[in-house]
Amino acid sequence: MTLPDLIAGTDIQGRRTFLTRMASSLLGVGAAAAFGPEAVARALAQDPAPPLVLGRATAKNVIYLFLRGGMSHLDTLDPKPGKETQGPVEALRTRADGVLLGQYFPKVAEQMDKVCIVSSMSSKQGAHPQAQYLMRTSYELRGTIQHPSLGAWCQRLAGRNNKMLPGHVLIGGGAEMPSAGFFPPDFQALPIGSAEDGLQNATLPRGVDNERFERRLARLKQLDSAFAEKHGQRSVQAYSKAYTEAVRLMRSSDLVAFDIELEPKSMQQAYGETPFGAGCLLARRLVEHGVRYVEVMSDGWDTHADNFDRLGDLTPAIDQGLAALLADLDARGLLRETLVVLATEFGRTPDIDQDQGRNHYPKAFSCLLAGGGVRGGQRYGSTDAEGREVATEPVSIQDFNATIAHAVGLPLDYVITSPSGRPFKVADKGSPITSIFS
Amino acid sequence: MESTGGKTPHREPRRAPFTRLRGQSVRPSRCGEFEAFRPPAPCLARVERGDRRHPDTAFPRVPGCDPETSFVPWRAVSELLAEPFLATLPCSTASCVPTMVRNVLASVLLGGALVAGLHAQTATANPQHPAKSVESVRPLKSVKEDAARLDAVLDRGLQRRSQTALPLTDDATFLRRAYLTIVGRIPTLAETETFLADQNPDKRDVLCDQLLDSPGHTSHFANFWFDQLRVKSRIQDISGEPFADYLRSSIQQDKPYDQLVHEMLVATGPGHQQGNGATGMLLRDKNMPHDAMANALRLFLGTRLECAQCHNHPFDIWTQKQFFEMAAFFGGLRYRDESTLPNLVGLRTELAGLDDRTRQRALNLVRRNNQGLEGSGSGVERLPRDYKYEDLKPGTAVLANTLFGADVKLKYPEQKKGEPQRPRRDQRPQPGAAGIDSRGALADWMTSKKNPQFAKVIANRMWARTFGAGVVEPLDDFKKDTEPVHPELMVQIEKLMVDLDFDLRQFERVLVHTKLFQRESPAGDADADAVFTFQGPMLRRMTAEQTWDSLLTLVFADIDERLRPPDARAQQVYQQFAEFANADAKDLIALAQNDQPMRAQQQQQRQREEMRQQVAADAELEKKAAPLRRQLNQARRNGDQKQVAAIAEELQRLGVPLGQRAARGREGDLLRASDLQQPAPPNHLLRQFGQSTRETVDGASTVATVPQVMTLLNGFLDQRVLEGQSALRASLDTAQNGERRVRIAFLTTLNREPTATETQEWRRAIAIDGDAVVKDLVWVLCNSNEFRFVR
Repeated sequence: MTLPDLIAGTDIQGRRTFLTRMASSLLGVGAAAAFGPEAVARALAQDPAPPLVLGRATAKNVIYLFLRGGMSHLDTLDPKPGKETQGPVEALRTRADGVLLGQYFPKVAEQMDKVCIVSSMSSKQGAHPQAQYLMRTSYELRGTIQHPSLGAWCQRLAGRNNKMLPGHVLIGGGAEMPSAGFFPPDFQALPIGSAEDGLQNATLPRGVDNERFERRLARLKQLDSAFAEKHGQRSVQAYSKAYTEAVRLMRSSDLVAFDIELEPKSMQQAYGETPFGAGCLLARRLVEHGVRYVEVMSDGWDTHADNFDRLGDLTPAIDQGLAALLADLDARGLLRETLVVLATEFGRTPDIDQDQGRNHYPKAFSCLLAGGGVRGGQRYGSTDAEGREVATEPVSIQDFNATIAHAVGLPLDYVITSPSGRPFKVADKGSPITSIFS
Repeated sequence: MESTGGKTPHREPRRAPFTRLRGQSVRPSRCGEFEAFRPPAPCLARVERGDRRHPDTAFPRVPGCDPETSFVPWRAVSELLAEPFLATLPCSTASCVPTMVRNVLASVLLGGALVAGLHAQTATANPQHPAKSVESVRPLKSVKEDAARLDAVLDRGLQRRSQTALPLTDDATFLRRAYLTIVGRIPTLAETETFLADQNPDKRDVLCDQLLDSPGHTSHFANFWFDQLRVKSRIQDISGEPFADYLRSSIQQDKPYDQLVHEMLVATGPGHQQGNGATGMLLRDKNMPHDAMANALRLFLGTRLECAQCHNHPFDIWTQKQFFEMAAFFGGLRYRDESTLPNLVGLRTELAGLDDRTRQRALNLVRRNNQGLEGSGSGVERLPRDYKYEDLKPGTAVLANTLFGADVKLKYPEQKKGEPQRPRRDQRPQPGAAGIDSRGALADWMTSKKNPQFAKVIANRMWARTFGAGVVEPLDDFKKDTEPVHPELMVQIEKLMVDLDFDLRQFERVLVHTKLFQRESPAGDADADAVFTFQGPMLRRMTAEQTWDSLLTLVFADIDERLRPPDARAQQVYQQFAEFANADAKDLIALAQNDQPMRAQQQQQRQREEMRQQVAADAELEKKAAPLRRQLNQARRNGDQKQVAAIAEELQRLGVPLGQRAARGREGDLLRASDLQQPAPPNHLLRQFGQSTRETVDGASTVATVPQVMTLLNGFLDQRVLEGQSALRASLDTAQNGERRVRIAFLTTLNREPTATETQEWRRAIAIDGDAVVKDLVWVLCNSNEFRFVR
């Protein structure tokens, strides 16, 4: 393997680190002397990382719906009718033969022909932060490094579909979870606190019209060029670039993607006028305008007590939102190239405790995939009769993430090194479930 | 007239005019008050209220001193204040200080006293004001000598590379740089004008010391520690506020750095108890003592050992066994403090009779409040089960051993020869038994002046913080073969840190008194090693905290006066813990029963939802409400508080229920970053500008991103600075003419005078388009690169 090949396999940061270390060990000189950061950067500038999407990609976009807290899977996606572990929940027949859902998802049951349930998820992480982190990044939580999330990997390897809009949007919270990790801050997801509020500070303030804004920008440019004459550092130039991009975003016709108020009332009602429903609607709009990876968060699923009552409160929003999303994407012909994921960090215990609650249960739980080339109307993998153990086709969290990456066409063995020199891949050691794709 | 002795010629009392301070005469509170300040001499006469007595005994008298000639004809506060100083003058028969000199001296001292008085008032009023002045700890002369030595080293370095140092920069640039570097914000209009107008040739020195003595310094330094130590206000069950309080207080009191680190490494006890904030460092990595060790080594010794947690380090010399030998210093560390448990004797029996929910809540209360640290360190750690190297079997217990520097000998209890002691599963320290105290040994080793890395790393970090780049980069990855480009400089600053006994404020003082701190910053990206020879301080973007604090300076001219007491945020935590600590089983159950159940909240939410649906069903109302709701969302998106409030009112009048978000503030409290929640909430300006999420040690960034730019373009400035009540608006509104307005805008934001061209252009524009252009001017200045970059 030649040196260029070796270097080509790492990202800019990694290459820089690699070369500086090589220099210091081979030449015995201060690294900065021979391969100072600037010199290396100049050398590498001719070789930016190209989009690395493989030909077999089936999904251009991903809508990732995350239920934080650990949704009880036996009551929703993997019911066990007639067994004691089912509790008071009924099972529903769905549009797919042989696939049952819990009583809480009647609308999703109607859309079952588009959905593949992965019932044999299994992990060893039973605590929220660790499990959420693993779900998000495919790596274990460490206090010493932040790994990039799957969305950041998608952006990094596959680039943006629409250059005007950000490539990764995070709706409804979760900004404390890792996003760009050790990737450069450009790969940070754009956080949207609430879908109803939309994108902050994207429109001109009250009292400032376009003409006045133009005048402001012109004067700003003057002042900045005077400064740039004295200080030409790259960090200064980066700001000019960011201003150009921000103004372009403000002016782009795609900005309307962030405003769900522009949807007809009937559409808003179809998704449900809840934060989650609005989030799904916003996700659809963003995907329509070419945003590659959109995440919608939902909180409150940690039902240690009153599991069934709480599910009764929480699930209608999900049921309605997810069903509307699937139907809507299908109607617009987007479902084929949009992978919809419904995931949670672990499931809940088959045994119901005295508080009418269920505890954390990572040993066997369920997640859901739809669209993006995934064959609908099926259940992949299974748990035993009472839902205690995985019976067939165990799927680790890394495998699940590898499946998503596989759908988007990301190379699973592509290594990116962190600034500290550690090698990472998009889904660590996971292998994708290829049989669910049609 | 009284006298306590000494032979003084008695004089007839002479009438002398009093200078009244605010209509009151002044007098010492007791006879002979000034005795203490001078050698034995006749005491001073008490000046009776309203009595216009001859105050000839109010001055230090020596035999032969003629009160007629040495008497200052007016009495004022200054004289009383001047007294102690005058008393220290060497007095001999022949050298009485003549009258005029006394007058001058008295006026100067009056001025000084008034300023000191005001300063003292501010000092006592501001709870984050440093406890001691820098001058009182070390005279400026010694500081300048140390600074000159550093400058000499730098000059030699530049000469070796045939480079020249950049010239000293102008006052305006220096002013802005000094404020941002030392107190973390730009200067106010008043501060700017005062400094630029000052003719004193020593004003730069005076400014630096003043800033080091100000509460702004405490706030700015707190951000430094919060970032390094990854301080978070809440880490699951643990509140990080006691830790933040501990750090703020430590900075304020000039706690030496080695003492600070030592305290944090050995702290034990309940985490939420007042006075126990030092436990916060290790509690940050609760249940992950290996990560805690890796982070401590990285932060304090600049050694990256995390890789060696799982395998021998691929790039450096450390082995996995060495990592576990270091981890052994934290052996047996428990994250639970059980000192309050004896109060809860009988809790189980009490709980047995209650319903499940209360029982659960009571146990949650116990669990939440007995977070803490226990165990002084067993000095033993087991290798992991997947240890794959040949030297030892997986699971073997290894003893604590240091990576470099001095060896540490721990006293392990008697054991069979050659066998390291196995750590027991349930290692409760036996009462009365002397602990092995490996944590104490670790702390001693790490913070020792002889530790080859400890002083070096902090000196390097402080240098980077002041000048934009460390003497060695990266700051936390010193390898065996790391060679500083400027080794003499590294040696010098390490020695300086040790000589100053790790007083970080005095160390910073030396750095800001160097010529280097006054030089221009380089024009472009430096080539390779040029960075490390320091022709001038580096150009860098303001940190997120500096940006926020500077924007706040535009809103409040007295932003530092708004700094809260260091423990303001922690008070509630301390209170709750105190309640818990004093509670017996019955009290605890009462506390548990008072916890707000979540169901009430959910019920409220459901009711609101129902009302919304009702309104939606009413078509007429809906038609009116829909466009209003759209406008409301628009206003919320732009952070336009006034508009939001107006529309919310309108909607309420219509009878439309509003969600909780209706009138929620956008930026939250307008306090300096160090006084806010750590880190700030995700949509906060601080986070947009790159404040660390506090998950990893190097989490902050100063990179340009679109959300932060949009905030400046459309959000904060127009809402908070240009509209509404801001200090900047107030000074602009009261300006007499356009030219003055332009000057004010430049002086407040960029802290410099506008050039002639700039003044001309903007004046013309204002003359044509009026007030709107003034707002545009401020907008342009705050969006400019000159605003956000520190030169």
